[in-house]
Amino acid sequence: MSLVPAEFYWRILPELVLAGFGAVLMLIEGGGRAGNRGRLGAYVALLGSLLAFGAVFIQAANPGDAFQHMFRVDGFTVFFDFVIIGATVVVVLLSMDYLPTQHLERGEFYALLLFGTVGMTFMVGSVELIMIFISLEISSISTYVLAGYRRHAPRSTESSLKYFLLGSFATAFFLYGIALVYGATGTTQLYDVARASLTPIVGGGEADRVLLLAGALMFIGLGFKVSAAPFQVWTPDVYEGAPAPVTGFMSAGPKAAAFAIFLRIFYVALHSSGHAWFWMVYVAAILSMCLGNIAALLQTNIKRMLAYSSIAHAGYVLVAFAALGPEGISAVMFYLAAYVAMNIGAFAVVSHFAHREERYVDVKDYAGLGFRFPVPAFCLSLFLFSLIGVPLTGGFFGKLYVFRAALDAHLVGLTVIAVLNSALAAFYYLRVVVFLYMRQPAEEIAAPPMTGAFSLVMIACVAVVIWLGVFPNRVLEFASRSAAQMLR
Amino acid sequence: MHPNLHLWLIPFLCFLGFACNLLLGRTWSQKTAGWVGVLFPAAAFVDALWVVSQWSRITVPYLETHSPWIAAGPLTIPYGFQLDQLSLVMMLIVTGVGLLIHVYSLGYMAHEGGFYRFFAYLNMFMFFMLLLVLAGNYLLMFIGWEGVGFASYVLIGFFFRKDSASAAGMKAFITNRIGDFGFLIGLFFIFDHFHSFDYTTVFAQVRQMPVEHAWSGLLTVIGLLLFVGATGKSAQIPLYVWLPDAMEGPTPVSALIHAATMVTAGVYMVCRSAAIYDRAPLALSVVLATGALTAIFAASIGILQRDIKKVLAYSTVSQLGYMFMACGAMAYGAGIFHLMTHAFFKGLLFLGAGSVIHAMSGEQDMFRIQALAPGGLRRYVPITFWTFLIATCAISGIPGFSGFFSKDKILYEVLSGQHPNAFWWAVGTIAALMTSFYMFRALFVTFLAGPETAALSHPTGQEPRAVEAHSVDAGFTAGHAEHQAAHPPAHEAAHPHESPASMTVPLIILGILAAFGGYIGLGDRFENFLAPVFNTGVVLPTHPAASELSVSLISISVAVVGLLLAWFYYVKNRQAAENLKHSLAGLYRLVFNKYWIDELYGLVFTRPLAAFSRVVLWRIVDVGMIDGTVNGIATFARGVGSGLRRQESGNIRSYASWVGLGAVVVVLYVLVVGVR
Repeated sequence: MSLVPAEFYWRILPELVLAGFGAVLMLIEGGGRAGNRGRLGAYVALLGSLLAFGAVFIQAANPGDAFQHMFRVDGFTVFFDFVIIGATVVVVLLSMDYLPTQHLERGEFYALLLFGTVGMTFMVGSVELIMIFISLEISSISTYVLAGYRRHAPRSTESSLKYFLLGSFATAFFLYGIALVYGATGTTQLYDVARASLTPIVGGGEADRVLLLAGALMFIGLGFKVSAAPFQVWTPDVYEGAPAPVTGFMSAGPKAAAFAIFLRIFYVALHSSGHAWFWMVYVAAILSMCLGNIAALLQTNIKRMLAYSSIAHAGYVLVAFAALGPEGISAVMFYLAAYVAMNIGAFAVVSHFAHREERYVDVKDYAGLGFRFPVPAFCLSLFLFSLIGVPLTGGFFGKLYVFRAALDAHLVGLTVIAVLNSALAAFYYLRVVVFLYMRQPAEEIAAPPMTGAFSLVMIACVAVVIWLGVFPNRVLEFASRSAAQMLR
Repeated sequence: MHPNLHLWLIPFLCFLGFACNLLLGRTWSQKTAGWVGVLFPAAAFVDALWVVSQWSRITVPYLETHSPWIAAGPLTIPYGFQLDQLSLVMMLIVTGVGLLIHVYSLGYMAHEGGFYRFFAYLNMFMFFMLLLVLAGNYLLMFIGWEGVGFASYVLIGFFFRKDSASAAGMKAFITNRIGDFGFLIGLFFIFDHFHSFDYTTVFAQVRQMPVEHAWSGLLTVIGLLLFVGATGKSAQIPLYVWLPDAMEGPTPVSALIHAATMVTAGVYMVCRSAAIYDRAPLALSVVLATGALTAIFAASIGILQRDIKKVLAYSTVSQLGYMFMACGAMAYGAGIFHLMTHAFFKGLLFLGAGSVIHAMSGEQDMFRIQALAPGGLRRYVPITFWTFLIATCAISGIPGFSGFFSKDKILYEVLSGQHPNAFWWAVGTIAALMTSFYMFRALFVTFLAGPETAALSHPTGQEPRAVEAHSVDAGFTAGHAEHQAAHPPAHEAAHPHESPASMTVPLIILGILAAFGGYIGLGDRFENFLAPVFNTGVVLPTHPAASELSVSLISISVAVVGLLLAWFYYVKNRQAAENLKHSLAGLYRLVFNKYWIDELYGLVFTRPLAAFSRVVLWRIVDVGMIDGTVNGIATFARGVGSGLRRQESGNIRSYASWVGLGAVVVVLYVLVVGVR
């Protein structure tokens, strides 16, 4: 007789695989010969993340709760596991292209990446607040270190330190929120919280108020993680300073995971006080879109511009969030899937062109690249068009579903602001395209040849962006089903 | 049992051409790339003809749906195509005229770089345009709509090394975004109310609705929003400014996109939505007034342009105005009829202009062309001249030519159709006089011998108010001086020559169509063919204010007067034109400078926007808020070493206080509002 049924392990198989390979990487890094350890680490990490991706299928075949109902495998978990682990695979490949040019390739980088992914996947599957908190910290600490990975570059160190300090600050709010939830309901399991909030243990309005305050505090913590205004201030500096592939990773994986728990906590546990936190989301959505887009207009550094644009995209996601229904959830999920693909793709091209010490990250450096490096430049244009939301790209349907969800919820004003914002955003994305194809280069920048790893990254991202733009159906159906499952 | 037409194949063929040339064109010789680029549109044209041959075997409208494209909950949008009389006509125009212009491009673009790229883009344009006209729902139409806009943007900027060309491309794109914004909101309204984008579903519900009389009914709002989109794409007031600039693109592009097909997409869309407009009298009146104003406004600018392509550009804007007049008068059939004849004669005019420019090695200024071709250009390029003459007669409404039938029909409908307005009819008639005048002026100046050849070859464009200007239109703008600078007198040595067969054959074919294309409209046959599409359930009594014959007589006399005036001022007595110019100097400068609309837009929109970004965004938001908080990233970059610690802590503190401030606001909100 075993205390823990075997399915429980199947249900956390991706996490087990990732953690195992992370440990192996540490062993290689510690005990192996100096020299090509970094390259070896890269292959091990690639293998690990691919196996973990495969393991999600096994996970998906074993739906249900695990470990005292702290972890739950449902469509929602599986969807985000695919997105996050997929992003990790792409970032590993991208790092194989980027790190050697920067002379930074070491196994620990990949180990940190895998451990961070473990945290994120646990995050999206957890339905218990303490578990969520622990996995949030696992993922955050890895990301703090990765952001400072170019340790000889002051910008990178600065980025890491800022992220760490402010991140801890925000996490404190989140933790306090958890404590209040426990105080109000006597449990930290999300579905139990939902039930308990209907039959409070303390007298009537009191518990309601405490729960609402808890919601506000958790909103602050999570708002920071998804870089929603007014908690977005850290984003530009951190994104600019971190190594480009890490920036791509930060804007994708942790963000998707944070939105996932955002959804679970607010739609499930705090469902009963939806009318009150709705306005927080509403205002945060407007602020994020407007601040992000207006500030992005003024940037010339591409990494900074994409940082501000990611704030704006967090705003679009919050628009769907404010719809308060299953359509909202599925729109958020679809949008994030498309966003992860196009944003990592864009950062991939930026990191490819960045060169040693990230010299070429200004929009002026991109003048005339369209004809000198047709393939990466074409891909970059495609990702930018998708970020604008041009039809036949994933970004178009992402926006369409977000707007539709908001309209179905009768949020006409919010939708109009969102549409106006997306029109405004076209301007700064197109500026990059103009530089790529219609300006004479001032200086012929040197770009490394396309490596196999980089080509694979491009193929993967382009394929996903186009696939979501032409056949969005299956993904959306899956998302709708998962949304219904999650709310049950 | 009707046959499966596989309509999707028609756009798809053009897409294949695009893909082949884009992916493989680089490795091919110029000849192969060109023939591949022509082959696929030709195949699409043949396919379109086959579809026509099946016409009697299908029930109209013929709907073709493929696997659902988007199916989520209540929203189902298939990859749907629809064939009815309207899309049939549009499909034939796009593939037929498109094919001729592809063939023409083989000759015209032979001396330009990036041959394969050009054909790839041209095929891409055809793909999106066919998607637009064959779509069975608004969403697919919108994708075609955006796609043609994008194709136009890259083709205008084709000579991207020329700054003015890429600037013109940007202008076109941004102006169109403004229009598309209205269109998109209109689509949201449609979906919100009818829960579908399908034409059949939407119009079936619209037909149940009454005619709106109020100022703000749902259909009126939708109609006006859709029309905002149409003003962008079809270059109507106030969004017409991009089209003249778009002439920076290669001439075949101007012919295909900015004359024959893309710019008519707005007209097509309004006609397609006839059921909505028929029930929204206010929207109809706006369409009618905008069309008429644009027609006369653009025609008046066209009178004084010197650049042959600019004349044709303003003429296009003006003719599109006529088509909208027809729509506004509920005479959609007449509008489509004019759209078709316009595709013939305006395509021909542009191709003819291209042939002239080709012959003169790039010269576009009509007065310089006249000066550079001793004895008149007519002698060197006879085919071009005769076809250009036919097209000029057609656009001016000389009886017997195609344009006469369609324009006359529109004017008659505006005066005495279902939604008549005598005032706009008068405006349209005066615009017709101007049209005849400026087109014959262009013809005479370009092709006939000038009076004072020697003097004309040294225009004094640099001297703004030269009283003793040698040529009729010389001077008055710095813009003209720039034009001179852009075309150094190196061309003077050029020997005018007739174009190769690949260019003249399309000219001749289009010439035949422009001359005789109007006869299919005799006895309202064309409109009766289209009538089922525009049978929207609303029938208003007509108001015959005058007989068709008397309206025709007025139109004819107007056209002839225009012709005679042009002949008098530009052939018989040049001095008279000169005198007239000086006696009306103020008016002349106003019109010659295009009413300073571009400058006005610069003053009203561009500059305040720039000032806004400078003062508010930069000074206050950027310098005040962002820089203030960030506390000088730039200083940080300079003083990396020693100052690091101090700078750092300052930054983080201010960041943390931002987060803290946000937190305080959120918590306060919860405490105040949450307690209830």
